Amino acid sequence: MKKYVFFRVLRSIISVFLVTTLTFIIIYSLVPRRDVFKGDPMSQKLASTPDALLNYEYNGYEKMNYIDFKNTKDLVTAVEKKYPKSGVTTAHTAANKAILDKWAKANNFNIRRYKISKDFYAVRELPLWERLGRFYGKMIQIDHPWRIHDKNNPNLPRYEKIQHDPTVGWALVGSGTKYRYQIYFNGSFPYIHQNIIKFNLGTSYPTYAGNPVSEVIGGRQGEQKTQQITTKNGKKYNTADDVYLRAYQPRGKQDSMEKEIYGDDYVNVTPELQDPSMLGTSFRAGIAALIIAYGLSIPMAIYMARRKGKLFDKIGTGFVTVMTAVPTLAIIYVFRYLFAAAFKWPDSFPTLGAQAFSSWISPAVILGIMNVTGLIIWFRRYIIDQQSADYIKFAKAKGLNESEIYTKHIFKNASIPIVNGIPGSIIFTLGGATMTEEIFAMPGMGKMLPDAIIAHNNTVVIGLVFIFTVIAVLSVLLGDLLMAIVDPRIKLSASGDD
Amino acid sequence: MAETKENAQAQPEVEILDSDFAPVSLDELASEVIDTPKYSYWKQVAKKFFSNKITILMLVIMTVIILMSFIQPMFSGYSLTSTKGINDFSARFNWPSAKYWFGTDKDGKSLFDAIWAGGRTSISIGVISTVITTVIGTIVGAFWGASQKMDRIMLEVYNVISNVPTLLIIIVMSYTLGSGFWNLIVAMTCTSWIGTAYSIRVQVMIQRDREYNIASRTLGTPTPKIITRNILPYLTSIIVTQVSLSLPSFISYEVFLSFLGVGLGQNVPSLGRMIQDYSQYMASYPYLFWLPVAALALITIPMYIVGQNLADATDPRTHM
Repeated sequence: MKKYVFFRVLRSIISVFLVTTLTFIIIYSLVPRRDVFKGDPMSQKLASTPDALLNYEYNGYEKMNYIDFKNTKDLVTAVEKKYPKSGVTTAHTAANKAILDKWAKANNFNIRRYKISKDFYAVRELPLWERLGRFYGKMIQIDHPWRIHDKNNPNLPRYEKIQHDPTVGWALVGSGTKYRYQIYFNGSFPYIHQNIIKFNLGTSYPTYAGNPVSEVIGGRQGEQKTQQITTKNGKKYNTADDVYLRAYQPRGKQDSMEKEIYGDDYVNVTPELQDPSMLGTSFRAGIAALIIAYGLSIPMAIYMARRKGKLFDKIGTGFVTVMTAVPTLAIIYVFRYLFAAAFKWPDSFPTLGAQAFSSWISPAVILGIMNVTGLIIWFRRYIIDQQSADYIKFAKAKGLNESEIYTKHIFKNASIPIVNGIPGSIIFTLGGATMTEEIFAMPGMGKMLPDAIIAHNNTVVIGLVFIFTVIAVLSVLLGDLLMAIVDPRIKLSASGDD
Repeated sequence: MAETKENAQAQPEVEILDSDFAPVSLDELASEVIDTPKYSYWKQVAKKFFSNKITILMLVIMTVIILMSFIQPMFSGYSLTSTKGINDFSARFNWPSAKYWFGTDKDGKSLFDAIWAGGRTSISIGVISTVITTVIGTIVGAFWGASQKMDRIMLEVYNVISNVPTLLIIIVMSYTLGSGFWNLIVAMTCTSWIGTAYSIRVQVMIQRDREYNIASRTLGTPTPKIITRNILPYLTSIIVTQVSLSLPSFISYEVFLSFLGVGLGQNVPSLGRMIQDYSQYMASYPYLFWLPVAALALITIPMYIVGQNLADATDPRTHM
């Protein structure tokens, strides 16, 4: 069993790697690069100044990992560093050109000239494997006490110790690390948090420009939240800072006021926002939907199977048929309209925002209802299959009554495949919520995927696909393990490679 | 009572003589005739299929809708790019009436014409994509299930492809190919066949190791013949089920893509874009929004029900 799980995990990691790589290749080789600036107002504004436009576009491409770009100033700095005695300048002389070419040849760059000013600049197309290498090479970042090296702060103590911090309580506090609090506890799910291992999925561009992708997807959204904190010197402050994520700020950039508040070098703080992240939004709605879906479909399927061919079964089958046949978009609109008309639940998420409970009801219920159909079809089928099994006939012959047979035998056996599907349904709610989130304008991952693809935000798309795949692969694995736990007859390791 | 009847039957005494019998020659052919009711698979399918009244009703609705969507746009001359009557204020936002059956929109265009033109696009996309995925999926799935060597490779390919979001593939493909009717079909079918192939593969694997196929293989039947003659006939109902599921799902996907504004070009009428465009009039001119939604449902529900019942009818187990 342990060996089996080990190899399954290994294969899962390979699958995730393959899917992400494939997505990477699809996006970087199939999406025309020029489309990025198609609807960009900035590039239209710069159209009259070709040099500035070129700088703008090439900087954009560099941020999106298409090319390495060095404008005149960077180019000269780079060449000077490499050949300190050459005395290279920005002037358009033959000597400069020669030394630039020499440098370019050594570093695989192409030297080109701006259209108007005729200044030099250098460009290097990044081959696909190098982009991939950069992506995977920087992906996992581990924080350790020797991470920060600040010239202005040579005596920075380096340690990691468990101590009671006046601001955050008991925590693993680090110094010399990037983040002050390596492991900490607080009241929000999942209660234990860490800053040691961070996923770096690149920088978002052109939407959410400059923010790390992991922050865009996993960071909180909405308005700033002010709270009272107690600092080292015992004073109380009202601040919007997210104190748990205090990061090292180099001495030269430190703000004296913040330094006074926190009393150490970890003053690079971001404001804490009140609404859940994209991931959190999708997850919250998804879990609620899942509870609704299972809560509705299991009793309904049991009742339909027990009254097979009767009126309730027929009504239920009709409902399932309509739900399967009618396009999801239409279903969402119909239910949204009904809920808004009947219960006055808001028909758009931002109307009342994430803080209002009623904003969540409509999308969650609709997501749940959309999950119900598949569950009913299968669960009813499994129960009906079990009804004619020999052991049920035997139980009947022994004199067990209907409800005993249903609750003690049929339900347990029919739910084995359903248990296998539970983790899978979690994925469905995360990935399949695209339409619901789009229609309700809910700021979740499902909405982000089409938005990011349409905005050519390559890094965010890859980040999302990476997250989706990890969850999908994990859920299949968990589903199999869960099934093996529920049903001792199932031996995973004996079933070979699949 | 019984006694008197017996007596009545016994009364006429007839003597049987040799001259009452004539010699008959032995008919070799007659002895070969099997005296069980004749079973014809397709006849039974038709009988089973037409025995359900709801199916017939749905079939009629489906035929009417398909005919309307393909014939009506020829006469209405509906075009999204037409600017005829765009300045005619009296033609704008007319509620459904005898003149405009389904009313008009903000450009004075008849919604009735628009729905049929959009319906034609949706039905065409659904049918063509389903045919492509089913044909490719069945062929690949059949060989995939039959060969263990292919299974090992294809399973990994399936694991990878099925994890890449379909939406991503479709949108990226429509960027590279450009938007348009056929480009959208290519984008939608280029990976979706693998799902069909996978489900066929599972069914083929179940049939593959049955005794009759082992016997067939032992007798030297080549694999392609085993697949086409021994296994595929068993899968008819499964393939039909697949078709009835994928038709509405392709239509649904097209609607969703048009809703997002990708896929079809600006001049192709589509129910999805209509729903997207008119969703702002949900409160002010509800007919503009709800009629396309209803039309969409009327297209997909009969298709799905007819397909499901056809799948039931093609399953030989229901012929008993």
